[in-house]
This record gives sequence, structure tokens and C-alpha cells, in this order.
Amino acid sequence: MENRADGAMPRQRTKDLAVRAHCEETLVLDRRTGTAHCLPAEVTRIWDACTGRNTLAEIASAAGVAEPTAASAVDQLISLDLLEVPAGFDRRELLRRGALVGAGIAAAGIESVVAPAPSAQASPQTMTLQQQCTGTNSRELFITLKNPASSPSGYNFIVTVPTGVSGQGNISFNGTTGQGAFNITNATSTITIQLRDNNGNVIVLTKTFTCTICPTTTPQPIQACT
Amino acid sequence: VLLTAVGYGRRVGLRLPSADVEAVRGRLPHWWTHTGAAPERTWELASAGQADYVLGEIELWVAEHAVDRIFVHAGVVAIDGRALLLPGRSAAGKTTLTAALLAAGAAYGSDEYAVLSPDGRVHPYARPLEIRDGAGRTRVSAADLGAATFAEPVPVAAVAQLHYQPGCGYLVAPISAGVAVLRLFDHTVCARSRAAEALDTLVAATHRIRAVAGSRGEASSAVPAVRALVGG
Repeated sequence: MENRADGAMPRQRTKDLAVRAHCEETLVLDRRTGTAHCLPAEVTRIWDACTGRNTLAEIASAAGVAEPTAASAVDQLISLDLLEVPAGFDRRELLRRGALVGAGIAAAGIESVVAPAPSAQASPQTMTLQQQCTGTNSRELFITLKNPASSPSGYNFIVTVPTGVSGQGNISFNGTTGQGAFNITNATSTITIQLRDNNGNVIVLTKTFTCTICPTTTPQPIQACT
Repeated sequence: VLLTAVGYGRRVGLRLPSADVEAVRGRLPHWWTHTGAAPERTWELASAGQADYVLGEIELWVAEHAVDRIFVHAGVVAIDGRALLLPGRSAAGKTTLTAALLAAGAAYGSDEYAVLSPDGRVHPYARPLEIRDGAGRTRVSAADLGAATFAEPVPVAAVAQLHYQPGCGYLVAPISAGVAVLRLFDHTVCARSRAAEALDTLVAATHRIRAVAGSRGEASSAVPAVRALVGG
């Protein structure tokens, strides 16, 4: 990396990037991946010095950092595809020099965010409930959740029913609709379903349904609760 | 029946059975302004029971495609004419903390969206607060909570990305302006479809801010520290 005569030096990628200076930091939007990066002040200076002509020592000097720090940051910028690496560039040597400050993006303090889908900002909206009496004093509940969010995988369902009744199960999501089946062991007419966050702490959605009471041991077709 | 409206420069339509019009009318988004112009997109509502879901989709679409506005999923209050943004996903506790700040004298902006113009100022999105409790969701206006709603756009003074953790204290760390931009970007509705425009707006909004991220316990306990972010 010290030999600039061979031309094998990393340089800032410019294509498909939107770059915004923000105070001493730099925000970089990678249009290819939809990822936004925040380069801290130190990494900004290192990135600015990656002209394709500077040696590692010159990059470190321009940024006011030690060479291992510059090597680690350059390696991480390469990993994030923010630097173009010409043929002949010896990345193993770079890794060796940067090993003193550790590996990984965290070492340089670069934070990245992949642009979320609009639906990630939506709240769960509706819930429906059906039941099927399965006989032997039990019934199965079918819960459907419709939500603009496409992947509310962070939610768990907690089923709350009157005293003496218990039941719990899982729900899986496909697109904007989630469905799950629950077995409960006692007949009841009122079922309250609570959707909680993935820690089970915060109630996101609550709805109470009224279901027809099952005959004790006679299987019945699926019917909607109201 | 086709109800048509314009909101944030976009024209939308809602087709529904005539018998359901009255039931749905009271649940339309607060920005719903009737227009006779043809909608750019129309949603179908088979029954009033689907209203919350379908209206949620309409609100989200307008939020993504609003003209000259960037919608960030965040609670918003103003203190002494400067805004505090509380970005967070659903169930992060935005509404609860927003309501607690209103009780402490802040002016209401939104419990759902920070609406930013290109100059980085925040406009109110003053829908009723949707407060969740054991009985479900209750809609309460800021006025019912004894709070004013700010009318003119205000500059951003602070960003607090807080997640509710029961029994937890106020455990936050400062974040830089650049990282605050990323955290807001992560809660921006049009982050995919209008990424560069969103980034420019967020940069404009965060030039002179204080920002923290972390967790909080009960909202009332967090209010003094959160208010201080703006007051400083």
C-alpha cells in the first residue's frame, strides 16, 4: 500500500452515492443498496484522504490519526463498498496493519441503516377471531391480524380469557396478514385477545370477541366470533 | 359511494357501501379535505369493520408520497417554540410520553408523525392521540388533555429515541447529529422511495440539536430530563 507508483490505492467511490457533510460528520447514502451511513469526524477525514494517490501513511497523516487506525477505517470503508479498490491492492496487508485496533465496523464508529419499507412505520390495525369446537370440552381459536406493516414479526400474541380458562399459541405472518391457532380447554363466550410487543410489555392492540359457547363434546364447523 | 379527498398534495379516494358512510366519516384522517378532483389512487372498503385497516393504509400512502413533506414516525411536542422529536416504532411508548409532556406544559404536534418541510422545520400532524390501555385504543384530543397544539412550523431542538422498559430508569446516551439523522431516517416513511430528499430534509432539521437514545421507565419520571433537552 505504500507504493503509489503501482497505482493500487483505494479511492472514494462516487457513483450512486449521495454525500452530505453534517457538522464534522458525513452522511453517505448508497443508492445501490438503499443504505445510509454516518461517518464520524475521524473517519470522514480518512475517507476524504482516500484519493487513490495517497499512501496509508499519507492518509493517516492527513486525517491526524495513527496508521493502524487509518488502516482499520479504510478496511471498513472497503467492506461497506464506499471505496473503490483497484486491481493489485493488497487488502491482507491492510488488515495486518489495522489489526492493532481490532476488526469490525464498530472500531471506526460507522453506523449504517438500511432504508426501511414504509410499512415498518405502521401500527397493527385489525384483528378477527374464528372458533371451531373440536369436541371433548375444547375449542380451537383462529386469529387473523391485518396490518399495513409487512413484517410485524416482533409481536407476540397473548390470549387473555376469563378466570379458569387458559390457552396460548403462536402466530405467523405472511405479508400483511398474520394467522395463528390456539387451543383452549374451557368453554367461554368472551375472548379478549391482546397483541403485545416482542417483550410482552406493551399492549399494541386489544379486542374482545363474543363466541357461541361450544356444546361439550360435539365437533362444530368453524364460525366467526363477533 | 366514492369519497374523495386531498391531503398533503395527494388526491385519494375511498369507495364504500353507502350504508357505511356515516360510520366511517367520523374516522377519516384529520387532514381529509373533500375535493371533486379525480383521485390518484382509490381504496375499497367492503364494510365499516375494515375502516381502521383501510384508513391506515391511506394514511400511510399519503405519508409516503406527500408533496414537499417528509414524514417521520415520531411523537412531536413543542416547548417554547422549539420541537422535540420522539422517533419510535409502534408500541415504543411515543403516545404515552407525548401525553406526559403535554401534561407538563408542552404544545402538541403529533403522536404519530413528525412532518418536515425542506427547510427542516416541523409541522403539526395533529390527529387525536391514540392512547392504548387494557380496553383497547382511545382517541383523545390534545385539547381534552388541556394542551394547545402548535400551529406554525417550528425548528427542531432535540431528538430523543426512547424505548419503554417497565421498571427501568432513564438510561440514555448522547448521540451525534449525524447519528440522529440515521435514527430518524430509520423511521422515515419514504426512506426507500425518496431517500435523497429525506436525507437532505433530515440534515436541515438537525443542524443545532441535542440528541439521545436509550430506554426509559414510566413516562412521568422521564419528562424532566426529556424537557431539559429542549430547554438547554
